[in-house]
Amino acid sequence: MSTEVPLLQVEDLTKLFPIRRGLFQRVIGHVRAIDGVGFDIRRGEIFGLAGESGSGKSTLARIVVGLDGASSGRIRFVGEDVHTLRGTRGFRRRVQMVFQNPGSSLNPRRSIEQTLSVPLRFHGIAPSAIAPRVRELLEMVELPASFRAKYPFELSGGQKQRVAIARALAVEPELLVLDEPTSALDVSVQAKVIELLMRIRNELDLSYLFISHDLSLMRNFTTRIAVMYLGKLCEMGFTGDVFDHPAHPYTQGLISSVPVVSEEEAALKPAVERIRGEIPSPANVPPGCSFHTRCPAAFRPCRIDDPAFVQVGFEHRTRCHLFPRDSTA
Amino acid sequence: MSDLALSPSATPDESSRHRAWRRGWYRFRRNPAAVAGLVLVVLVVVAALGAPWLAPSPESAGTFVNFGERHQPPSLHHLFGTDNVGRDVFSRVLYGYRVSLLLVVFVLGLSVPFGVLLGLLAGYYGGWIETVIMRITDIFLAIPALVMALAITAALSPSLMNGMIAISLLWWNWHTRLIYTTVHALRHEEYVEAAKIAGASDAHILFREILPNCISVISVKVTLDAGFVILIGAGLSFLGLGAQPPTPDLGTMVASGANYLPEDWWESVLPGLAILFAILGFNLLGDGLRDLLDVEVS
Ligand SMILES: Nc1ncnc2c1ncn2[C@@H]1O[C@H](COP(=O)(O)OP(=O)(O)OP(=O)(O)O)[C@@H](O)[C@H]1O
Ligand SMILES: [Mg+2]
Repeated sequence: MSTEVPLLQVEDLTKLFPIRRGLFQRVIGHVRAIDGVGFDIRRGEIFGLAGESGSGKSTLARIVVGLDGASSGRIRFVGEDVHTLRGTRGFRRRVQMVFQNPGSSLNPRRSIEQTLSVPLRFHGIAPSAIAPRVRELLEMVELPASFRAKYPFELSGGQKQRVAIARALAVEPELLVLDEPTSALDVSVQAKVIELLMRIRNELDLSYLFISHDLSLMRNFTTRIAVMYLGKLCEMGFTGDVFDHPAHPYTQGLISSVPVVSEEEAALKPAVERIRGEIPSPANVPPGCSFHTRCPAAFRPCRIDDPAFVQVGFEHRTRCHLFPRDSTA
Repeated sequence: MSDLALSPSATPDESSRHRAWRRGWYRFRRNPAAVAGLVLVVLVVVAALGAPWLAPSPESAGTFVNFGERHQPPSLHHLFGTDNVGRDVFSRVLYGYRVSLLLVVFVLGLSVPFGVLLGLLAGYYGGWIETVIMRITDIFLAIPALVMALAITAALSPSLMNGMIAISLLWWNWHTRLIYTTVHALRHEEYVEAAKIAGASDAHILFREILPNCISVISVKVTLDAGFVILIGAGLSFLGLGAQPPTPDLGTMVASGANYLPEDWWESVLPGLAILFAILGFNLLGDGLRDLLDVEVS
């Protein structure tokens, strides 16, 4: 690997949400939405983050773009602490986000042109340069220039998401955080939006943090993948390695629950049971390994000790008692 | 690109705003109560604005006296009859609407922007700003409006201006509460957060992103308010604490006409009905708008 400073470094990040009850709103506990998460995103990389609903993906995204603060841990952007950068125009310009729900990420009272001109205005683009730039942005996301004058209610979900992407691209960011950008869309539209995102990344040399609850979706376009469960990373590695040799029983379960197309593919899949039951509440995380309540391979230590995040291959890590210590080749 | 073909079809020269308005107007027309309200409000506004031209006897609005025609019952010559100094009651009612609408415009023009601004600040910033603003609002809400207006106008000298100031002092808090609730629901909308990430200033977010989404709730509330402001204003002047003679105020007319009940009923009953007419109009219109815009305002 090069010694270049990663674009984004997430270090031991934790986010607790207080649970309040009663007349005086006393804090009676905490939701551990994110618990000791760490990873890097390198320049030019598409980093996939997968996890079930409630695993903390959006919380992480919000902290990365500076909408929320973390409870502990650190995020660095090109080596600099995001906490000190947070809210500064320079940082805002370099990290942008596309939200999960295209229906609510555009202001219903503002035209597409008004929406797209916000980032331009606030990053010192000359007023006369705004209209041409809006046209350029629409073209970039393959929407006709006539969409300027439209309002969100006239757009389909896919078109809204294209506008949201255009807004995120307006100020030429370096990192785009995509929080389930396609999960609210029909499958055919989903493919088109992903295609668009890939084209844009190649043209503009962007890096993506691509978040999805659908691990298999990310197989074809991510560089590396991290799997999150109840606020913790349970596996991380190059996409090919994770799909070919999933180490964690949870990852194995996620991969095997993907419908198979051919016999050969079925033969290649690891033979593991599908994951049982529901994800526990992050307000009440099971002791030991938080996955043990659903794990087909769970044995005694899983109920007691939280396993370490150990190396199981080249830049491939997992958090599971089946891999007691670093077994790097 | 298949998802492009899905945009709603329409004649190309028609703007989207225009189309939305037409659809709204179509739905509005199918609500008879709302249409009746709109008609009443339009009549009241036309009467008020057109009083100098519509009134058969514009001089009746002032200190004019015509002792030869005192206490005349309604006739073709005096549609609403005449009062104790021979002034044409119909003309005075038309001018009375001017006073009522002046009151509405003054009170709401002063209190709504103020109340809305405080509601925006409290709802958006939260924390101590919210605590301070909302506690003050609660205190004002706890005082019955009419009692407070009575106290203020009695303390100051009774006049139309003081009455308007008194009502304005009481009115902003309703809007603060309403907008606070609305903003609280809106401040975590993704488009608000998207604007933040885009680098927008707080002023932009408050006034360009959030406020436009409060406009429907504000317009419904303002329409309903107009009726209540007229009622309270009339109440104050009925008690002699608002507009003073010879201002052609509807409440004052009811009060002075009441001295000649029941024989000369038109002098008080017809101005009273005129008040009712206006209140009814604003309420029906407000209810219709509320259904149309699908907002909650209480
Ligand atoms: N502001 C908040 N206050 C309290 N709890 C929160 C808050 N935001 C998120 N949580 C909790 O944190 C946990 C993680 O939520 P998060 O939205 O990050 O999950 P997610 O992985 O994005 O799920 P989804 O796929 O449903 O979007 C959830 O249990 C959620 O209830
Ligand atoms: Mg989410």
